[in-house]
Amino acid sequence: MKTEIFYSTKESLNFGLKEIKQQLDNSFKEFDFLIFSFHPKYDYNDVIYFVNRIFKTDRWVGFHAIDAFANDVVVEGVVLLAIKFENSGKIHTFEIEDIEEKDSLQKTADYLNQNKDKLNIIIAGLCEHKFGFFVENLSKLLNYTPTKNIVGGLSSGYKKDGEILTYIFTPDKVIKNGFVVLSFDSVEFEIGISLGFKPYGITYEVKNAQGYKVFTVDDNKNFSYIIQSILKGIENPSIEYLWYCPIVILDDTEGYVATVRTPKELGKDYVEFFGPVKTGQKFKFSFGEKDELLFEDRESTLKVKSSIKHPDILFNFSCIARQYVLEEEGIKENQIYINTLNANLFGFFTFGEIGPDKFYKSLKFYNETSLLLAMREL
Amino acid sequence: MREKIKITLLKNLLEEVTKKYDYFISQRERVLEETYKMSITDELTQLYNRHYALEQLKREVERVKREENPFTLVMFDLDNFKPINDKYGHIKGDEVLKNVGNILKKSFRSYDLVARLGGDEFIAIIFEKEKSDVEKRLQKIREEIENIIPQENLSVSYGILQIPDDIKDILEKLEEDSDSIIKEILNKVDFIMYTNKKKRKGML
Repeated sequence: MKTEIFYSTKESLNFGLKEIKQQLDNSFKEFDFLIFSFHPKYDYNDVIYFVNRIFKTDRWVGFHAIDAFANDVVVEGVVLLAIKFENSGKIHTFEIEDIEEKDSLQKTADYLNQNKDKLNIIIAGLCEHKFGFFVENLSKLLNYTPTKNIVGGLSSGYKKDGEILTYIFTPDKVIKNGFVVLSFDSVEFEIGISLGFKPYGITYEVKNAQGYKVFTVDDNKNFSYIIQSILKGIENPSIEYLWYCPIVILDDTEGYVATVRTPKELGKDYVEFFGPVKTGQKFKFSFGEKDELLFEDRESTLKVKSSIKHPDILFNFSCIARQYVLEEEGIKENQIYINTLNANLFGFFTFGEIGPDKFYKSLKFYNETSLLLAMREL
Repeated sequence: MREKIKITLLKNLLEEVTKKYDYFISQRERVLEETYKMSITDELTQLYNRHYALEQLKREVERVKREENPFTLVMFDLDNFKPINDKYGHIKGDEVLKNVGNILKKSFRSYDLVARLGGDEFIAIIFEKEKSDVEKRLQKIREEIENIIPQENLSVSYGILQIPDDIKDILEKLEEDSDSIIKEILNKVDFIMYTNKKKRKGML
């Protein structure tokens, strides 16, 4: 499989895509598939029109990402991964426009059950903070193990004119509340999930949680007060500061790594996370330092390397909160992956990661992890 | 800038964890206390239970051997309780036992010990020196118990042992064997109580 990554940071989507097309033409006589990431600064209504017109193909998908990786460059613009299979490799797509539509869960499960021999990469929108539950429910409908062949991440974006721009793009539609599955045929692959946050302290019990929000813990203590006390003494406190100390859910024994939940919003009487937290779950606070996170990245890469020595392409689905904690060394994560595995790397900042549990028995929705996928065409 | 924020976060986390730990410890102490209380309490009457009463009796006997610190042991057994149980059922019977428990509890001082041995049998370790004072108090207890269900002739018989005076023979015979001493003391006070019961019923 021949892969290459191109990018542009031009402010105009039209000019940016034209710049990338020129780079693509210089490297590829023909291609099989294109995967784009688009910064939400671009008008999403223009995306399909420009891609179709400039690239003259319907073999592509795209998604929003605040930052995307073109090897060891973090790009706030457009990034393209171009793929040309050289042997029997193939790629086809499956999409769900709205996860709340009737049968969307069953349709997805049927598709994945029929494609259990393929590598399936899910790229999803934020879906009004419901995708974590969708993943958990989907996991229950899968009729095979190991479920190692399903990985992915949630597109990242921001709120603009009342819309949270975490959309998925295909040649004929903008998917606002759904996802796309990229199914790779005739490839071998390995995944590594790294965390690096060390839990400490005493255990809390969630007394009242709804969706992604936790209201009370222990003997009905307002969890928001506890979080506020952790931010005290900090000038202009921001929710992002809490990304250094996410909660680690303890009774989730099947996690590939511990299931971490990153705070997203601090309300008067609730704390909202980037993933589901349920009443009755137990958790501890954790703390992460960049060196510890990078150490786990190294460990994870070595594990991947022991299984797939010469990958054609690497994907890094790296949580936006993790990148925040890595600070100026964020790019080192990609450098570790690229230097150890010696392949091109494509990826993006995610609002959540999808991967298997420790025993490959179910799918999990993760936060603050880096999910590395190494792939090689057979 | 970020380093300063991280240090503050860590300090605050540590403070929160310490606070939480204090809470955890106090909760644990409360649970331990409640568990201990449950382990020494008779569930029905909320008096001490048999196990605790016999442990305390053993302790007091050990002390009396060392310090000559006398006390009075009283064993109670209700009269005509079984007919109440048969006639009104166990719920009423339990209610009567609770009433007896309350009467016994309020009739002694906080440093005396009252326990339910089982069924309709109770025991009291009383730190009262004068036998006549004890008897006056026991007489009052009997009157109150007889008023629980006046029409059913409920009453109480008791046996009294003044320790160490009344158990010198046992202490001499068994010396250091605490378990056997307690067994013998219980047999003796039980015998006195039954003798009294028979006397009251005109059988002796």
